[in-house]
Amino acid sequence: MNDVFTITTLDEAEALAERLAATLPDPMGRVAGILELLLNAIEHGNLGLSSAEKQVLLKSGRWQQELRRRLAHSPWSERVVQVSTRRTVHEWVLTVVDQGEGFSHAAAQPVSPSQLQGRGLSMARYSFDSVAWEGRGNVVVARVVLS
Amino acid sequence: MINAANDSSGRTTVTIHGRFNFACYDEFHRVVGAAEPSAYVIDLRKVDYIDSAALGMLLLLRERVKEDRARITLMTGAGQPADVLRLANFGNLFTMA
Repeated sequence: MNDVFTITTLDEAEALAERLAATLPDPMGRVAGILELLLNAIEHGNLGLSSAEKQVLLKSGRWQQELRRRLAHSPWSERVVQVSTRRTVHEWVLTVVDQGEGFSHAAAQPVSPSQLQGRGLSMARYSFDSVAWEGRGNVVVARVVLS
Repeated sequence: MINAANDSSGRTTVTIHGRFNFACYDEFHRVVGAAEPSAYVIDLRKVDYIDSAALGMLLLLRERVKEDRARITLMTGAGQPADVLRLANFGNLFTMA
């Protein structure tokens, strides 16, 4: 069974992550991982926010404000994230495609807890049986084994 | 949903219900940034799930108290929030209760 969704905003990412997680075993164990991949696609993909910029915004309390600003302005406002799911008896596969410039996924390594960067990617790995980046880093495929 | 209460010793207890995720950032920042308390208790027992943005919020709060482990207590129940905090080794960074 295949489904395709298109999202733009953070609120849409939250709603879709919770809706998709509800179809899986252990929904609360999955939802944060799905959310990470959707938010990552919007924030770092479509909106082009670098990790360094994010740190500055987080410390100053302006993070959400800046994301809302970018979502309202061109060219960011024209970009969408495409989310597709495929379910068989054996597995559930989530594919997330953003319209950003991508990143060097070979460099995405697990991090220690006190490092602020890359925790989201580690969280995604925790929620899924596998996570892999494809293309120029703007495509991520996550799998949950069902049987 | 985030509620905060201050006691006479200068300790702030922050209670979070439901999701503790990116969408809580503005409210969390406002609640914990309002005063300069001596210590925080963050009650996560009613939280359904946390995301990495929530972990980031806790780490930023830790910076505010000069990384003094004794000044932030995280209260966790069972389930995803407790699992994630354990996997992230937050017990080394915060007092866990």
